[in-house]
Amino acid sequence: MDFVSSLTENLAERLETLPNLLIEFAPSILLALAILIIGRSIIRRLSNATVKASARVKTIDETLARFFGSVVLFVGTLAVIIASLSALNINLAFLTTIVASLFIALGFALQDTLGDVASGIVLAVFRPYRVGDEVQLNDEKGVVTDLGVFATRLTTRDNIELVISNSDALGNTIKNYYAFGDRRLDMDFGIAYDANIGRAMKALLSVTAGDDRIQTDPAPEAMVVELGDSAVILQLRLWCDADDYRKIEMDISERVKAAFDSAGVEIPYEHNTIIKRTINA
Amino acid sequence: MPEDEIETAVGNGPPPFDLTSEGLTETANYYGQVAIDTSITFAPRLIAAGLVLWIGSWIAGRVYRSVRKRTDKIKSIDTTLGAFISNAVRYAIIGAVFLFAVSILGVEIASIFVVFSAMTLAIGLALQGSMSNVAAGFLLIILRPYKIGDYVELNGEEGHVEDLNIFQTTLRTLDNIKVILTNNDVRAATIRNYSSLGIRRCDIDFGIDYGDDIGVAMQIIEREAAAHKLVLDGEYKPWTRVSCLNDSSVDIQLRVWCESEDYWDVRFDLLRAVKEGFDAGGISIPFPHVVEIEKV
Repeated sequence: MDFVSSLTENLAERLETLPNLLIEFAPSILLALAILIIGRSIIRRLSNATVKASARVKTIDETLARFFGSVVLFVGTLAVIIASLSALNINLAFLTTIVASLFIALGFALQDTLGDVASGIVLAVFRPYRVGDEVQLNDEKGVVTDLGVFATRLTTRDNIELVISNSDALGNTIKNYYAFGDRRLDMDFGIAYDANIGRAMKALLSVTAGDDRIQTDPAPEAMVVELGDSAVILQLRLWCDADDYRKIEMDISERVKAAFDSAGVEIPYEHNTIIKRTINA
Repeated sequence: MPEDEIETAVGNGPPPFDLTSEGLTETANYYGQVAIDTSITFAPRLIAAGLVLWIGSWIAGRVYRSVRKRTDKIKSIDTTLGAFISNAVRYAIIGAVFLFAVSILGVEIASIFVVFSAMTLAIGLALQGSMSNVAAGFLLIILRPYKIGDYVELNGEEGHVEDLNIFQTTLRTLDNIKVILTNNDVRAATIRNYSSLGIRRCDIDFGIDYGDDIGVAMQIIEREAAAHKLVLDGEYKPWTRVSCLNDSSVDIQLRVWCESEDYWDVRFDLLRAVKEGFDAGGISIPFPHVVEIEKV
């Protein structure tokens, strides 16, 4: 019984000092709370400002702007938490070591993913392609449908969706067929060796007339590009909008055939000169 | 309450917990004094930190401008690279000044430092691919194997150089496609520059029939080549030789020199001119020959 009474006495004594302890620690707790609340609201504002400021830059789209905002939020919150803990006079050395090694471990684990994000930022800043452009990325050809933080999405002309990681997109040669707006279409046609080259060229150029999609400046051109085995190879070059390229390519051949026929220009089969000899065996 | 009494109150630590009005006043006085003391000791630090920030950012601005001016003067460093270097220097200085100012305020920055350096390491790992491109970009900008406007072949892609920055090289192909190559790919592969030496030689083979007169054919070829106004003369005048006795033809090679940008015009014009010259001069370009032997 003696033990119990001494325990209760002791406890009562302790309880008496508790308010004093509270008062003693109150300022630092309040300070920590204040740092946490004020710091958090400042960081929030900073993050929102980052989003707004980066959205104003033309080359940065909404996704990326929000991504920048969340990076600011994350790093800032971390700093605020550290500051508020240090206001509590807690020794932070062990905590920072843990957080630091966590970062390094995460860095290794997420190396490729973070690389995609970094490539996504470079892509967003340098803009080698935009949504709607026809491109070749990582040896795959398609129309860009989405430019994400991690990956770029393409749709091929035969309607297959391709997801290409931003590291792969940036790390390989990028071809953008739409970037310059116009494109030159080159098409080869073989004519017979005894056909008149001038008349054939005129026929080639005549098929481009009256087509609004084909530009007149620079004007279509025709030239001899090769003296082939069985045919003189002519090339027709014309300029058009990148968007019309494939349609014109599909329209031209039929028109050239008709124009050659009416101009009397022969499109030759493969030729072989056969020399016959007889040997008495 | 007299002043010295408060002083002692602060020195003795917080007053005991007391909910009477007298006790509460005492507590309030104590914390009021603590607040005043703190601000008195803190004010100089705050001013010092502000001054450091102000002077530091001023120095950063000065350094930025002078680095910018200096890099602009060096020919092998272009504006992009100059802007990049000077901005990097500026932000490095501002970062250091900021940390210095924070440490003046009495914040323990060592712990924040450890976390941020670990973060930098993680970011470095993520960026290592891009960084190798930056390194290659520096090399290309300093060594200048090609200029903007040159017609080049880089890593298998041909075109005019449209742009060169620290990450990428952009080409415009002759049929107007934008080709963007990483500087790493460019540096690692053979760089073929068609423009840098000014003039180019254009070689064209013409096959004539085994029965034709080689001398006449050569005369026609040389006449047509010399008549072309873009073909160079004198030391670089056209040259012809029999280059190959081929399966079905005697091949005569024509070599002409021209300005690099005229190469394709010269080539295509001469193909047509020589073909028409052959037609007029009675020289024939043979089809592949097959001999059919009948054994009796």
